[in-house]
Amino acid sequence: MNKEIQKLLFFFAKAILIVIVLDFALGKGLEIFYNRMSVGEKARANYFIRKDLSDVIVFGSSRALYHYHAGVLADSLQTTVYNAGRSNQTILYHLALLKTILKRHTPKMVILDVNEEELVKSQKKYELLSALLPYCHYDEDIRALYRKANPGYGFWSWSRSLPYNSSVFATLYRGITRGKDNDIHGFLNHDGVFKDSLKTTDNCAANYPLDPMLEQSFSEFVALCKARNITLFVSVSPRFVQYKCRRPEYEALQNLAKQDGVAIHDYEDLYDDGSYFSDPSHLNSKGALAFSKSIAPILKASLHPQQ
Amino acid sequence: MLFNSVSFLLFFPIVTLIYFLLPHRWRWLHLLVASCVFYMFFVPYYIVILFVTILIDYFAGIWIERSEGRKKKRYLLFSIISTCLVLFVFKYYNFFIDNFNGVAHLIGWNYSIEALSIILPIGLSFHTFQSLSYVIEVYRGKQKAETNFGIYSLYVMYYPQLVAGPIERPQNLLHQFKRQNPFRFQNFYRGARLMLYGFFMKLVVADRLSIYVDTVYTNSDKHSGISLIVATVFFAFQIYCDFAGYSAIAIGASRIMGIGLMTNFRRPYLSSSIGEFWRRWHISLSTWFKDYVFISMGGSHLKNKYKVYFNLMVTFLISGFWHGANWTFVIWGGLNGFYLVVERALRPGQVYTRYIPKFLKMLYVFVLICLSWIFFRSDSLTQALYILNKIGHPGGKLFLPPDPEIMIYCLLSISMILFFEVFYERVYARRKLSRFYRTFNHAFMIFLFFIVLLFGVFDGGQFIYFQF
Repeated sequence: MNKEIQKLLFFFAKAILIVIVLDFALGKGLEIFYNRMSVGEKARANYFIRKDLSDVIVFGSSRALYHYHAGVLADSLQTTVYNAGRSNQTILYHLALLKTILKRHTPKMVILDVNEEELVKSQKKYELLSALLPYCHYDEDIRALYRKANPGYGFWSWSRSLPYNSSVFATLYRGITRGKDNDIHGFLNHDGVFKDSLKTTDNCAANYPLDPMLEQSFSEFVALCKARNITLFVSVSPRFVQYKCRRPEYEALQNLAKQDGVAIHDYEDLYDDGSYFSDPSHLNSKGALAFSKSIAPILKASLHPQQ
Repeated sequence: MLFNSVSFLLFFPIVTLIYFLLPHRWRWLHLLVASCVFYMFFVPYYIVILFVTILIDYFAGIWIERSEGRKKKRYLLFSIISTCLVLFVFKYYNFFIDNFNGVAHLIGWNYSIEALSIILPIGLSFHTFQSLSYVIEVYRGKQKAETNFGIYSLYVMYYPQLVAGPIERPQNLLHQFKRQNPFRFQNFYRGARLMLYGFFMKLVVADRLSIYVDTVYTNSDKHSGISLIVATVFFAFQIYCDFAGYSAIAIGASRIMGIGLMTNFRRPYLSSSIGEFWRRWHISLSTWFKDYVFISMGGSHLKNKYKVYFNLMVTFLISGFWHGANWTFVIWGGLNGFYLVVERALRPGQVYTRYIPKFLKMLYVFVLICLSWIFFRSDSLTQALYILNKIGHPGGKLFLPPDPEIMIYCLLSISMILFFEVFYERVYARRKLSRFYRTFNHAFMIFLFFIVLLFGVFDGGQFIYFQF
């Protein structure tokens, strides 16, 4: 064999060996710190994915995280509640989490907070799924869903350290320091009061393309709850914006829900008092308390229809 | 096809492997087909435009070589005009129409011409300049006209440098497609190291900084002076690492196949004068303008120094306009030309050259260059002036991204690139590592690989210079 080719093969053998060993060692080290985290959204997701056994679970984006007061709901429903909402995440993430926890236990009720752009196509929605990467090596369902959304994953799924890409410092810092999260069963209070007046939106003409994968995931989420006899409560929580009309994307979501046999409870226009909000899309602690108290009886009626 | 895409990670090894498996006489054809595939990944039918310019300049080259005197000049002019016409239609037509309509509106003339709704073919300015350099060199008698249409096409289309340079000269590239290129491990090793460094520059530094820069610049009215200063400094590193990263990947990929491309960047932010900066920044374009514009106008050997200053300004204004059909780019070019003219006119005295520490000189160059980047990055002159005004009154709160880790990565990436550049210039390039050279290179490659893996941004960010 040509001497130059020999050198190349020898180089590749050495490089691959070194990369695999170092990648595994780095990945394992970071994984230890990742699992030790006790504060922050990653720590809360870790707890929820690996340990939680609550009867009522809230899924959704930051609007779910800040709007559904788990303490109020638990007192009212007389059961355990966990708020698994996570900023920027969409139905893809919620479906992955639901599939994972169903392997461990079956909750009695699932609250899914959606927004009118839930099914709108956006590459960012796929990219944000990287929050699931640390679990891809251990959970078949999460891996399958991640791969479906990011087909390129197949090329680098071998790497143990890549799941911690762009979160090395947070992982190390939060893994080393101890602390206590200020969440209430996953729920977080959002501070601040929105000072501006109520704005009216008339973006009726906006018609963004829908994503078949998101539609499919929503239907799968509903079907999974039905198959496991879980009461599913789909809702749109309050916003400090007045709509002159409904955008086609929201109509599409409603039609899909109807098709899947589930109602969407729309509370978007529930409050027109700015003191309940910290920004146009998020309730503050006062608003969250009021909203949770107002929907608790409805949830109770859905959970125990016979009472 | 982007260098930072999964498709390229498959495309490159396959093309390279086939290249070395093929007998020498078929290699140019293989590279040409691969280059067509690479280009057609963007907008497939734009290859027709490329083909038209190739066809014109191929025949122009042959006719120029075969003719003499006025006829020769006429062929050159025909080639230059027709090649530039394509560039004009796609890149500058709408700019002129917009300005014409603006002036018409201003003088109350109720007449407007409709703009064309066309997209600029990727890398058009780059391969236009590469084609021009060929016909000019043939005209000057420094290059023989290429008779093999395929090889000439490959010279214009060679995929590593097709969309963002380096803008090659025919003397450097054409003969390399014809010579025997057996596989050499050393070429592979150096090329791979260069590619890895390019990926580091692009994915770890440029794409990370772009998160902060884009947030601040797209809402410049909502951000404080201090945030705009930080964003501008970040942009200086972003654009450098984006473009130098692309060049490093291009040169590295080509090196692996045994084809050498010219160096495009030599650590420009370590320059201690504006003149030096332009000798280190986008070298292939700077030398292009020097060879074909500045020197054609008389160069720096003219007796009348004001004529030299004028020529410098014209060269830089054209260079700015080459970058984009927007007044912001023209001002950017003009500002850099102005810096150079002032530098030449003042001729730094002994005190400056001897007693001012190099670090301070580098800082002075960096600040001036950053000021010009404001025009380069802004969408309009109004925005650029607004930012300059806000920067003039710094204060307010520094914008910090919601995820504090982003800022840590931004600062870390700048520190790393600065450290690598200083280390290369002070230690590596001066061969101070001779004893540990091999070990150091191996360790550096492994280090870069893991830095990219752990700190890289993999959202497929576009290269800034693709738009030119």
